[in-house]
Amino acid sequence: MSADTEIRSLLRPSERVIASLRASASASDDKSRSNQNVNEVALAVIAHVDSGDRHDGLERGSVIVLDSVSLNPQSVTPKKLRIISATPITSELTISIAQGMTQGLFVLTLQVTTSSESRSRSAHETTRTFTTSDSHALSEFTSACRRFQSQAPNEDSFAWLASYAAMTTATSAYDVPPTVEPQSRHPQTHRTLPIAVPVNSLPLHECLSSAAAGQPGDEDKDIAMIKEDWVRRTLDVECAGDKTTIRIRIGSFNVNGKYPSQDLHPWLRKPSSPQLPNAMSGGKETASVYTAKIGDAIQGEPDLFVLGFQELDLAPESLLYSTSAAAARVDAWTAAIFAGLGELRDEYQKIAIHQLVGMLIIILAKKSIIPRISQIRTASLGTGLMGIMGNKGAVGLRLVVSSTSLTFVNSHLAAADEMLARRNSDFHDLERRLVFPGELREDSESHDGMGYERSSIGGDYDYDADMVASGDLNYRIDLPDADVRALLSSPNLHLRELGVRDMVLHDQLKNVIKEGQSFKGFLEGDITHLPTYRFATGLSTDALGYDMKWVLSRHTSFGSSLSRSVIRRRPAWTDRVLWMSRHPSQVNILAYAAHSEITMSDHRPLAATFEVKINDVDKLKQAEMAATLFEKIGNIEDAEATHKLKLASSTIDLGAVSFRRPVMKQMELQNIGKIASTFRFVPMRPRGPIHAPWLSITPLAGLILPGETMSIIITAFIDERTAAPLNMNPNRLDETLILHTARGKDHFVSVTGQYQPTCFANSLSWLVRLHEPIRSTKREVESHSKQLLNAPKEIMRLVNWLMSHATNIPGLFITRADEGLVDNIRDALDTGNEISAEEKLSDPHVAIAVGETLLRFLDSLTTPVVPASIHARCMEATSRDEAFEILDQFPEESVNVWISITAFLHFVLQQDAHASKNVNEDTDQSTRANIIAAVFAPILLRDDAAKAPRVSPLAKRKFLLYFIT
Amino acid sequence: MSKQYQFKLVLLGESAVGKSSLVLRFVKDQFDDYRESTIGAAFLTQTVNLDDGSTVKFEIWDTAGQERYKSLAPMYYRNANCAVVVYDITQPSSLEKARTWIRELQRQADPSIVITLCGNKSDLAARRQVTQEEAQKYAEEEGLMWGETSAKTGEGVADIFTTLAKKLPQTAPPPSSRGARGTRGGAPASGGRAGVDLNKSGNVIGTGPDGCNC
Repeated sequence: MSADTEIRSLLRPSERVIASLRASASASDDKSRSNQNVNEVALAVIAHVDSGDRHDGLERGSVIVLDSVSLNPQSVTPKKLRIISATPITSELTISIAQGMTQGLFVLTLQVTTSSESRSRSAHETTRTFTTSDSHALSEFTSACRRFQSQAPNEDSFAWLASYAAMTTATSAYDVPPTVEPQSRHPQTHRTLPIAVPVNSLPLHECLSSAAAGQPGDEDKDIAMIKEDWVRRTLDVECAGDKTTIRIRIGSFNVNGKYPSQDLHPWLRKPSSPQLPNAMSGGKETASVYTAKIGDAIQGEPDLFVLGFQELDLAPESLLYSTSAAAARVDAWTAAIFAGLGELRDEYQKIAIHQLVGMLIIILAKKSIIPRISQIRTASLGTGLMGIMGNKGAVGLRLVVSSTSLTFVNSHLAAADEMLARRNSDFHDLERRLVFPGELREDSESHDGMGYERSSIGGDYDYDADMVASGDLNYRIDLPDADVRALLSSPNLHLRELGVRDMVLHDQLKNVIKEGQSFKGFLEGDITHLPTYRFATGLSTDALGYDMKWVLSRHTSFGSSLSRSVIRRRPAWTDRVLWMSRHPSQVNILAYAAHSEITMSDHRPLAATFEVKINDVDKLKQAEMAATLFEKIGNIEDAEATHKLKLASSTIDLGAVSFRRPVMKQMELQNIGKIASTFRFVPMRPRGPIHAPWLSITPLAGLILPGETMSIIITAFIDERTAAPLNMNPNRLDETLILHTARGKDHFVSVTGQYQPTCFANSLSWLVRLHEPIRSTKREVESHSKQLLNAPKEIMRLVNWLMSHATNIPGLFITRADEGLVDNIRDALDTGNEISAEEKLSDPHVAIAVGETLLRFLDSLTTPVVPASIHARCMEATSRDEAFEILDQFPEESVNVWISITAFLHFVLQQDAHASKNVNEDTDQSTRANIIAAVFAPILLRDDAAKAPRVSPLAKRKFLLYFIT
Repeated sequence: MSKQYQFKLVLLGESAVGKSSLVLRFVKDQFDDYRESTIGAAFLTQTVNLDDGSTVKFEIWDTAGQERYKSLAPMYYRNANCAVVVYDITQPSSLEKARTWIRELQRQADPSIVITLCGNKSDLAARRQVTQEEAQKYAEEEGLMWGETSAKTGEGVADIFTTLAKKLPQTAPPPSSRGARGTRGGAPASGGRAGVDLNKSGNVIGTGPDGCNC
């Protein structure tokens, strides 16, 4: 009988074995070590599948330890396994692995810290250690544990373990009461902030409990949060300190184990660097932008340099113990940094440094700012090999400047393309477990020498806090290798910018942030630089220096190879700088660029310069004021109190609402009760939307003192995203908002208005039914009319106008248009008025705005001109004739649109060709065509966000080029 | 042995039949001649002491009667143990509306819901348009409880709710054995699964006086 089978036989059907491990158990911290008290045990990670009453679909995990007993002491075999302990896998379980004294032996430590109440200072700890030589099983075991940990189960999810706990022997040093009171931690949860940072950029209402009409949610928790938010906001106003702006330069550099061999000056000081050190043909514009920014940079030297390194040391032994070589590397890089500062070197001082294996973070401060800096703290966490080793993970530094807390985290997340999920889970690990000493966390009450004092009232409202997460985050670009290289390789600046834009759309990190899968709430500057990875030297590189070598896929799990394949590491923006702030408006990014002059590593160093508003608040005064404010609010939670909020009016008439023209209304909410009251808007159904997507409400939750009145702002703004459903069923806007008073009434607010339809955000098949401008259309009449137009008249009007007035306008479809003009042109399409006044016909700004309107109109179509379902077929065309044949498969209403637009573009490019024959222009005709194709292809052949796979942007351009050249 | 029960009650009926006045009389024993129309849903609680020593606590949602908010009503009668559907004895149309509400409840509310039909404004008997016989007959056919009230004078108000309080413990499903009651603390009508289950099953929430501090 194998161990797994035997363990399974001990489990109930609702549990299964995920991983198991044979090991020797040793009692860790008692005197029995000398007693040779080592016995063979089996460890297993088991999963419990919930049956019915919980709907979150998550499995709960537990570690069970079993030992072998002989039923008959006389007989040698067989022994039977029995469960000696069962431990729920929660954040309280810490798993660590170390190299044993003997070669090939690993030490596994399981540590459980129980502290059910933050009040109880005496955290109870239990530690057990095991040794094993089976690295493969150990790896599976730890990864199974970590997977369950990442699912962050509630403490009340382990009732199922009770039956196993009952089976365990009472003498076990290791069993933990498997059931935990469900409410023990509940009220504190909102104070557990991302990456242990006192920054929570999530809006208040997103932190409140789930509530709906008739279901008030967890009102105690909501009231507490709204109160705290109110105090914080009031302090921001009433107790605002002096604000100063400081400049921070953040750098990230994966040095690939190299020693510094080049001047670091560009990385430390330049706002941007020429993107193409070898091919400079598009460099004219770059150079001018570059010098303008340089001037700017010289004016403001950074007050802080925060420099993060990865892969400082690649030697395997560096994983296990710090070597003198590692110290030498730190010294070498520190010296290189000061050297790179050049004449500024004497103005700066190294104030903090923290290292974990290959990850290093250093802060240099200008001497003038040093007196304002206090409370420097460090944190680090390994998430690498076996889930804990420091080859991946993060190092962080936190400091306070005046009274603003700044946190810098330098991370190195899981590598390789296919490890996206692992990178996300690495981040969540950091989010939960990277703790700076002195944090108020339920599970750690330790304060180090510099631990900061919190206000006795609790919370961290007194902090202005910002955080920067940078590093080699290892996110890739989801495009084929050939595409990425081709998009990057154009010597033309415009074309390369468009290529970068196309690639950013496929960037994994941008997409996971958007979908909230990791780095939720973080912001990033616009990426205009080329990918920072992976460069090589020698023969196997492309023109830009990116590595072309074919390598074996690194997708292997510890000790065993899965499907290995041969791949090429395509260029990617692995190195990034992200930030998050309690006051997002107080952080301003000035520069974000890679520095391609520094070529010593396979990565290029990346730097970002920020301007950050720093607050200088008298902490003592602030704490006193906070106490006064809490007192002023009084006891809202009192169950006997009656809460009365009165709305001045229960109806809001928005009047006429047009596309992209905001309408703002105010509603007065008065507290006519005797006690402070909190309110929040709630959705009709749990987890449903609070309001229509075209509405916004400020604030969505708040607190009003007795007798006071608050103005709530309701804004209607209909854009491309929200117009489509309104166009389908137009005219009347009618919404009911539900404003819930905590422990009181639900108020209904009717919001009504007249929607002015727009031709934007419709389908082609609907537009071809409209003979009149959309504003003068009676929907009922048109939907029955049989006579269809050949193409929407709006497109024809724009194309005809461009054909008559704009065939020779430089910058058409490229230069940014005037927004006011675009609005007017759109109105003209909606109402049937003239596109432009007679005297403006020759104004190139109008022409550019008409071009822009055409692009935006096409982009707003609910179904692209070429529906996503036939993209793949379009990509099969290998000649002009084949491309034209595919037109037969286009929807009827698309064919004419496609032909009109491509014919017009073809004509414009022909004109260009004639014009440039005599003049020796920078951009040749094929480049012009490529630029036009790069602008139009992603719009005419727009991807369907919901449907994969997406088609290569280059192939789309190629298809369009068959028609326009 | 005295018991404590807790039930969710929803008031439904046409606009201006006196739902809010009825609740105000029941909960605070007050009356207000010029009450504003309810635009929303008010939440109140009142406890009824029964002769056998047990107490019944009502968690009352008083909803807006206006037609335009009709689509929101299901959110409030969801999981209700009982409904008081109110009409105005001087307005025959309001009884029609009450019938509509009752049909909707029978179709969409919890099948075990106990419904009381209530003819309000009995002080205006001189202008009566709906006879007691007509309403009572309808109530019998549909298996509803029925009564007339005057929120203004207070006549019949206590009876309506007391009768409900007596009937509910008999008809409600047996108290659930789930140990969720501890989670309710001092939070009336707290949401989440525990609260909903509790409402649904019409739980016994304690066995002694002050067993619950809700």
